[in-house]
Amino acid sequence: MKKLLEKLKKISLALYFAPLFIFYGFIFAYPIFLTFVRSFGLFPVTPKTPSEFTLKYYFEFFQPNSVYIPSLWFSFWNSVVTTFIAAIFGYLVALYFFKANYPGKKTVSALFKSPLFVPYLVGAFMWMEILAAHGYVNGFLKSLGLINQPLRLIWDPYGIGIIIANVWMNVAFMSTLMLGALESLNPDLTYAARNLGAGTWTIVRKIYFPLTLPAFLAGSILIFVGIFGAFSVPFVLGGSWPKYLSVVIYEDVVEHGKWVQGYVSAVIYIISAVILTYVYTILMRRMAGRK
Amino acid sequence: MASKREIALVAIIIILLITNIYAFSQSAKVATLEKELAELKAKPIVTSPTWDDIVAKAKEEGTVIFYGYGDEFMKKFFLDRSAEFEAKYGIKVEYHHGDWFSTVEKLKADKAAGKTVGDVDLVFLWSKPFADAWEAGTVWQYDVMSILPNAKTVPYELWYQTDFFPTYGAMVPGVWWQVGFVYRTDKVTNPPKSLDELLDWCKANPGRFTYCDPNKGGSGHTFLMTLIYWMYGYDTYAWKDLGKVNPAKENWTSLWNYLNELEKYMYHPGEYPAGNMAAMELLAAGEVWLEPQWMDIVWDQVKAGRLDPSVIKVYIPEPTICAGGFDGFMIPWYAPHKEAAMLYMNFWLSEETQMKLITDWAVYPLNTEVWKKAPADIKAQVWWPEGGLDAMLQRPLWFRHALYMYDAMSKWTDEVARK
Repeated sequence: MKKLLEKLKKISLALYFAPLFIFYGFIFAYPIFLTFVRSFGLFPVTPKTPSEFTLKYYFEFFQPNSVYIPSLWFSFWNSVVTTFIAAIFGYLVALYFFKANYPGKKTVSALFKSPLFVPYLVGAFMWMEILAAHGYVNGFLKSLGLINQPLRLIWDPYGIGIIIANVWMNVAFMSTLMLGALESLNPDLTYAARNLGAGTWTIVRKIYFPLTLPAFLAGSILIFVGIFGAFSVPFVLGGSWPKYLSVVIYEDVVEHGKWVQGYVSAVIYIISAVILTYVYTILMRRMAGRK
Repeated sequence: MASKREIALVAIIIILLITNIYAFSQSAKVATLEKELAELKAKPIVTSPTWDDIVAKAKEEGTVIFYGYGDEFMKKFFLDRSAEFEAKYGIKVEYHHGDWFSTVEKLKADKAAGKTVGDVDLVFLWSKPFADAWEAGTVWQYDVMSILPNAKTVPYELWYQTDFFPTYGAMVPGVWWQVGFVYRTDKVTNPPKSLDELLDWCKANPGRFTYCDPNKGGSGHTFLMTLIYWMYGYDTYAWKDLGKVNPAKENWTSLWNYLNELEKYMYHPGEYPAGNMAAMELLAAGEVWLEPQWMDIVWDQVKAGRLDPSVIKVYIPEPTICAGGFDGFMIPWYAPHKEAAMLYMNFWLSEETQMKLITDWAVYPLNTEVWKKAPADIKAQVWWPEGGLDAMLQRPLWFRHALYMYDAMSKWTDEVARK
């Protein structure tokens, strides 16, 4: 009887959380489940379209000359480059604010954080005006006589504009995260290192970076996942080819009404992001010496 | 720590809860559908009304819920016309400005949910979303064109098709958008008079021509469709198997070869402006000197002070550029105020409203006689192609074929952008 009462107690505790699980299930799990199921042609969005299981859209995705694999690859490497630059710059900015001490530092720090408050779409249009052929960057370089023809910084095949805009918007995020991690370090470690004759660069390499590595990894993963599947920046600043897979999904669904193909691309996107994040985490942990 | 059995028990309870909730919602839905079907069956059959009956019924309804889309100037235009309609008929217009995609998706969702009475009376849209809406069964299947008194002012070719998608009279064309070639008069003295001369002109003026990505701007895909007709013949595609063509079998090899050759002499080869406005900005900045562009985009930029009208001219090269799109109105199947919606459509086709398309916007009227009565100073503005609508009507009238156009847009990415 006592055991039964204990078991009932545990079950009732679990049931208290059931509404929360149901809520999150509907908000997170159900949309993903629906996306997955609809990628096989089941429960179509459009009325009058029969619900029938099919793999043809998956076959079309993985066709050798389709737009999907090159778009996925472009989304991947462009996001990796952005993540790398944003993470390094973010760390350097955080180090600067960690060590700097002068009047007006808070104001300068607030200015560095301003991209956090700019929506991605607004930032994309802002950078479009700055980087366009008739924009400020080209105008400035032309006025200095450094170029005769405007540089191609947007709508180009390398996604230069996408990288610049995404880096600008993510450096602030990374630096905020890293500054918190740096400020949580025990200052005695720095004093001890100085006493032993270590210079600033040695302290950064041997103390700061290893101890803030988990935060650095977390920030990098968050930046990557955020921009890998993003739409507004690649849509505004991206070229006609190659495109981010998110832009291809938009064109498939909105321009061509190919909903199922859009679902397939979304499923591949989700799976790719999960796998890449997992692999990245394992690799970084190994580098950090963690098991 | 809960045992595996306890976890399994909780999981089973949650699954049972979810399935029961779902089953209950489905049974509730079925009950609602049966009730609505019974109500419909009880309604008397309606015979064809006269126009006076429709006007009387419209005033009785007292409201029309109108969903439009477009740029800010279009929103203002719709709101101004709606205010005039209200003043004339005493019927309130509830205007919603959004985008055609989400409006059609809303209609599809309402149809899937089994609604028979809705909250949308009138939708302004173009050929593709109309086709989507029609195929989803969300369009009121009534030959509205045959009942509107002002429809007789609309060219008959536009009564039953839009971009060669059959409309069965259910879509009433509202505006005549037109793409022309825009060029900088301060940089160009001899623009190409015909499409035949375009490539040679680009070779003589490398880096000074562009067209926007056809997947991101209508001026781009209208230009693409024009080239298809120019290269393969308008009669090869026009009016063929209306609504039942198979564009996938078209290779258009010559077209892709031509565009790839053209690209070598275009502005930043391989770089296509991401939309109509992006292309317009390049011309305004003097980076390009010639491009295909919507005349109302030119108008908007001149009005906003971003384009100097003294250095701009618009013209239609020989043989022509595709006419349209002819965006227009349709009534959803579940519109609660269908008569008021028809009255609005008829009002839109009135001479007064059609004149406003010329004076307050920069699109051609569907009633071509109205153009002749437009003030001369308005018709002389730079955004109208040389010769205006009169000259346009002297040329072959090429309507875009939506199915071929969309297929070409998709193939353009593979055959031109990727190469």
